[in-house]
Amino acid sequence: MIEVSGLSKQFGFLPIISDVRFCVKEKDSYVILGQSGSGKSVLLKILAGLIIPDHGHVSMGTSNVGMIFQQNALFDSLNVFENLAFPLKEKKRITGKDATVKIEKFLEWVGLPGTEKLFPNELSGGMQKRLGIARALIVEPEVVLYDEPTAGLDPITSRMIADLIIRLKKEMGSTVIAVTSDVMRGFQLADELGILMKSKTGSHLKNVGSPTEAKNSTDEATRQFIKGLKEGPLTTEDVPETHRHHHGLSSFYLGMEDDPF
Amino acid sequence: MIRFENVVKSFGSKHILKGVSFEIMPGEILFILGRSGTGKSVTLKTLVGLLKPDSGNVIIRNQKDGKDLQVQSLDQEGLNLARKICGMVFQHPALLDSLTIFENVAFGLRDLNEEDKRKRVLECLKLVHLDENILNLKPPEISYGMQKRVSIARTIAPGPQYLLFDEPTTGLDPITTNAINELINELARTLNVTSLVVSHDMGCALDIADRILVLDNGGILAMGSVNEIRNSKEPLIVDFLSEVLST
Repeated sequence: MIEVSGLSKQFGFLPIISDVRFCVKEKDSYVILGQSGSGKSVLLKILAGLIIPDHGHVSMGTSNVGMIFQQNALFDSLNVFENLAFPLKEKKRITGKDATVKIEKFLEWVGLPGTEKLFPNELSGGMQKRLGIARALIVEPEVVLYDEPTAGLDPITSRMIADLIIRLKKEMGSTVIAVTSDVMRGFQLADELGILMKSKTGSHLKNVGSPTEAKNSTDEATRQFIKGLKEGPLTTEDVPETHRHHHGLSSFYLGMEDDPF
Repeated sequence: MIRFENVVKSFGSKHILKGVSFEIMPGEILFILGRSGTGKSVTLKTLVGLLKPDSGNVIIRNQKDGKDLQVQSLDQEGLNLARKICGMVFQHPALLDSLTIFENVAFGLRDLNEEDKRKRVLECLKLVHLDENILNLKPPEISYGMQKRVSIARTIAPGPQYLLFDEPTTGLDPITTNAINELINELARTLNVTSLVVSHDMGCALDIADRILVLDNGGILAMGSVNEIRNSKEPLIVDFLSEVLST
């Protein structure tokens, strides 16, 4: 069981997330949806231990956590085999024949058999994503964090990647937390969902239950987000309070698609 | 009018465009849809002369004098004119972070005096529904949705005849997606510009396109009105349509 309680983080004077709390059952998949700039990636990086929160507590129940980055973060100068061999050697001290067997098995799992000698720039976007997933999963993490796993992919490739994530989760018995702004994909991936709702005091996470519960929600903000409605309690484009009161404060507003890092 | 005549483009052994021909009619919004790697962005880059086709013609009509520009054979001066006629909005806002919003929007207005420049910048910000209170802010100080709008204001400021959008809604949440889509539609109608939108998003295309062109495997799989595409039986199109959120 993953338990997150009271997480808050601000950059400079700018609150990013505030009092975020949720639980994820073992082997479940929890998807965090949210508006652009609501702090989804910041939250994921806090869960991964890459950012220290100002307040709150994260209990992952294990230190064996893997993360798949939005841009895959593959080593361009290493071929497919070497990209997969790297974490095996560094994290598990597995080399030689054992490594080869494992790499072949994972390439088969993610649908990339026979690509060992290719370099990342010789793979399509979808194939790079599969390789990124294989590289994170090859060390068999108990918890897998996905940052926008289907961003920039066409809808069909993106559906296939989501299917792959679900299949691998079942085969490996892992727990999944994913952040995305793609509602359709969120519904496909999730057992339970939360939506990060922007607010001037930092985004709050609204737990909206299963995909069916989310689709049928009568909560105004949830409905507005899911349907992409203009009218509703959520606002998207506002000059942040920080800059109304502290002009020239530098560039701490996250505004951007994901986060300031 | 923009016309592609039998355009072929390959990268090494990868054949991206295998003889693509189509025409964009004045004032219409044409969406080019397709899977990743089918040549959507290559089409856009070929149009503005960032890539040269291996064969075929790309023609842009300058509506001011009625002359056709053959993009593939233009010299630098001709390319500059073609790029002035075709305003491009990139997938990411690509604003200059060290400049203010005013300076970003005024970037292509160097020929104007200060008074006219300010007037035009305000006019363009109004067209994208932004207030003048952000003029002195820098891009990182406004939200991503606002940055998108500023980048559109910067593109329309010099008064292009054609607007080209490269994946304008990729990676955006549903509310911002709909807002940007609505803005593209509104600008096309208000400014009476011809718009070409390259996208993965069938939902956006169904909402605002006049016509949709679907690229697949280096060629045109289908081209037609929204209704024709909606009723298509092509498996790829049916698959794309099934992805349109029906909540």
